[in-house]
Amino acid sequence: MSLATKPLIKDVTSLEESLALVHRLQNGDQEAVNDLVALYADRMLRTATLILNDYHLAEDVVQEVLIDAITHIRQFRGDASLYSWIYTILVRRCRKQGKRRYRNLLDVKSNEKLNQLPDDTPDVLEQYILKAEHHSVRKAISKLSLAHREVITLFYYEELPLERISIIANITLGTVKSRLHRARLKLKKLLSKECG
Amino acid sequence: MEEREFKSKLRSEMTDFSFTTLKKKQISNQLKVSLIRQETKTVNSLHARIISFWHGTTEIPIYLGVAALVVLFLCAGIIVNTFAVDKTDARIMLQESVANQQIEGGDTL
Repeated sequence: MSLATKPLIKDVTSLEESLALVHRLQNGDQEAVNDLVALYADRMLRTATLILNDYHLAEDVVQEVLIDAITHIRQFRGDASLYSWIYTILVRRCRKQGKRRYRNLLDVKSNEKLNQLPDDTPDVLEQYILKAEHHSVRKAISKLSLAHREVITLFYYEELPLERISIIANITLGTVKSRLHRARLKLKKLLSKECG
Repeated sequence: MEEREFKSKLRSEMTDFSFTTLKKKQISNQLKVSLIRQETKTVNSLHARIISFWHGTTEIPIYLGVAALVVLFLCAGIIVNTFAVDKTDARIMLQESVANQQIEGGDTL
């Protein structure tokens, strides 16, 4: 099956399967841990890499999120799917790490007396971080701001509906729509530049 | 670039990113430790909650209290056994007392 005809990425498990997995985890089933890692780890890593723009930081974040999920698994009541619950933690953690890294980079810049940042600082930041990017689409996404990367990743990579993005990212539906619209426009420009 | 093409390209670009088998094993082990720790914590917290409840309501140490309750139940068992009436014994005693009364009554007549 070619990539173009592949079905859209959806939840890796059905709601029943995800609840069964949660139940096993809540009962301390060690095998369920292996299943959790096999089901979610790589996918979460890719999402986190796209949002954070840093593979190594994404690795740490995914590890932290999985530990966080296991630690609080008894508090999971099954109101949402396990996927939504884990991704909510992931997106929040990515946001936190992204902002922290942004602040750290600004500190480094000011220490090096290179703090002549123009108004559109996120773009400068991305240029600063990503010098060795080869992939066109990912390169274009990496040039967006953290908030825009977040919605673009959840919409285009995770292929989530807007309502679900709003829940996971804890922002209103209107904000999701406006962010997505702006991110798309920016992405279009970047991609047209990329493609010449 | 079409939306569909964009998604496909993005997905193919992202396939390069994955955890190594060793890293996945490490994460699994770490998670298993967290899971066990979490279970122990739950058990401990229940034990701690019972103890704190006991000490919040009484000044008697919990172990002494439990021992006193055990002794109390044992004593209650012994007392109940002592005063318990055996039906067969009761019937024989009753029959004997009736027979005695009849003999005594016969003598007077």
